[in-house]
Amino acid sequence: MITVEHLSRRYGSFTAVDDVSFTCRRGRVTGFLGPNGAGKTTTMRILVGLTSPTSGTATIGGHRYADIPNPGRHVGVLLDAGAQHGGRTGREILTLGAQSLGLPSSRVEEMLQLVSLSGEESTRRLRHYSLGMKQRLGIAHALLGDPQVLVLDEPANGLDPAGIRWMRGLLKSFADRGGTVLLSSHLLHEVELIADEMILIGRGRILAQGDKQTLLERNSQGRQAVSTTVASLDDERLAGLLHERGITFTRGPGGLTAACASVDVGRLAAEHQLVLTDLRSVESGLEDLFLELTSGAQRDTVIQPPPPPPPPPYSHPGQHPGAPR
Amino acid sequence: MSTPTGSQPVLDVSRTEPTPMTRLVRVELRKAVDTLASFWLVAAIAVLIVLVEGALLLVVLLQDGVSTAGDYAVFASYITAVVLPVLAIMLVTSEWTQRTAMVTFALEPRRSRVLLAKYLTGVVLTLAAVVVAVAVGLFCALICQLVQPDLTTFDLGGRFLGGFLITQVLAMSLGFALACLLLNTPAAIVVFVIYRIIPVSVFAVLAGVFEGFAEVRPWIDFEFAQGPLYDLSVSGSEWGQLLTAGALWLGLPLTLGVLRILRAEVK
Repeated sequence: MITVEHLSRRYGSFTAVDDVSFTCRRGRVTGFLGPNGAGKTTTMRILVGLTSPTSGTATIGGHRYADIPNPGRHVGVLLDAGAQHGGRTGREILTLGAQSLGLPSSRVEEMLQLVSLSGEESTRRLRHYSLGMKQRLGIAHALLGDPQVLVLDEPANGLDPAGIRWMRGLLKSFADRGGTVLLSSHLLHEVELIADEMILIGRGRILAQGDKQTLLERNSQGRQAVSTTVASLDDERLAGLLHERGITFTRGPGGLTAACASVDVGRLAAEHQLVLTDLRSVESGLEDLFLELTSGAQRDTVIQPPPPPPPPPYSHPGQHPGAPR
Repeated sequence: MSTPTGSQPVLDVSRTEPTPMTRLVRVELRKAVDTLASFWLVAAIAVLIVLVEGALLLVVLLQDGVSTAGDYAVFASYITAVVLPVLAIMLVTSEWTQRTAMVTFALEPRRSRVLLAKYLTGVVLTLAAVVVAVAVGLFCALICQLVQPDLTTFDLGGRFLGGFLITQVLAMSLGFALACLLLNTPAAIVVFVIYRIIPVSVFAVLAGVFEGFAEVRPWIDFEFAQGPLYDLSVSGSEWGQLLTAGALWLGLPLTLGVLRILRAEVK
């Protein structure tokens, strides 16, 4: 639905966006991920015609954004939740939007309800809004025209965990109804929670794209093999066995970390009838991949991937897909 | 959404009407008066009009003076004349200082249409100001009529008000042009004021010093060229002078300003 082809934008000698190509599909939430200044915002601004590209094209559903009549009815845009007049109330801002789009004022009430802004909050002036409230208002503004495509720049910025969960539900149901979502973030955690697919960008270049699984697989070559944390009733004996097999390992507070797959440790323990109390495979998660790719881009050279970090002593109670398993 | 014809899904926009200009103007009109700044601006003008017209009425009535509705309308329009260019300036600059241009141009990416809507809004506001001035004039004349019927007429001085409307639209246009060019409220207001004072004085001095300059002056001095407009007595070469001076002092900044906005990166 969104197609970006060989898009570049240069400011003098600085290249903000460098030959970027990607697509966003219908029914999917696509996360645009990269550190600050990577070119996410510039790309999105070109997509909606606020910045002109130096070369390349960006289309939505086959149209240049500027060629879409009354574009708010097709594409919901939120580029900066703070880019609204501070002296207007939230309700007034939505009313102006609804009028521009030719919508009845009842739509304003619907949107306020959808983003849970109360009647009292909606009559406050924007300059008294918290960042989270501005984001909710911005989402409401983007959804006013009942669009088929959403383009959101850092929409989760300033939202509390409950707010992020709310947004995930909102965008997921939007995508499930056939909508297309492109959202950006510099926080991997947010994108992991909300997006189905990811586009990693650093220094204006696309570094990797795909869903989480493909990203990890495609980039696993040349990376350090997975390691395994293990604890048993007799760690001393286990250490000896590992040493005999020539498997390197380190000692940690909760057991050993061996540089091999968990199945190898399990087999070894079974052969010697050793009782294991804990056995976990430590994968290098998306976070490492993200840092690795972006730090490579920042220094413009390929650096050796860092060794996988030791497992955290305590992982989040909530489901965190990126946490080591 | 239609089904894809190729591999690429297509957005079906055939049934979507483009935003009509009337709707854009309506939104811009609302924007012009829905903020605290614009509210106080209009409120201050209202208070000023009441004070000035009240004082004027008092003087006329106490001294048994002769007055027409036009006299009162003129005072009211002088007061609104100060504000109209400022409102026109804020119409443009607030989009940049408050960064709402991002939203405005996302909803209507054809920027020239947004600019036209803003300009038309300025014209509508100017018309409204003249209507208010006429209403105030008639109201004051009505009060005089009740007290001293022999000394009062309802003559509005239509010629003057017509000329006033035209020169006000020109002043508003100048504010609009400078706002587009500078995209900053205080700067645009300051330059607007300077623009209306400095060239006139410089030209007057030049005309006094060099005799030959008096010939050239009407062709390049916009304020001077507008003189005959005030009583709608423009004739012959005066039209040409209005055109050349207007092109220089209004056309040029307006063109540059509009080009700037059409090309600007909206942040």
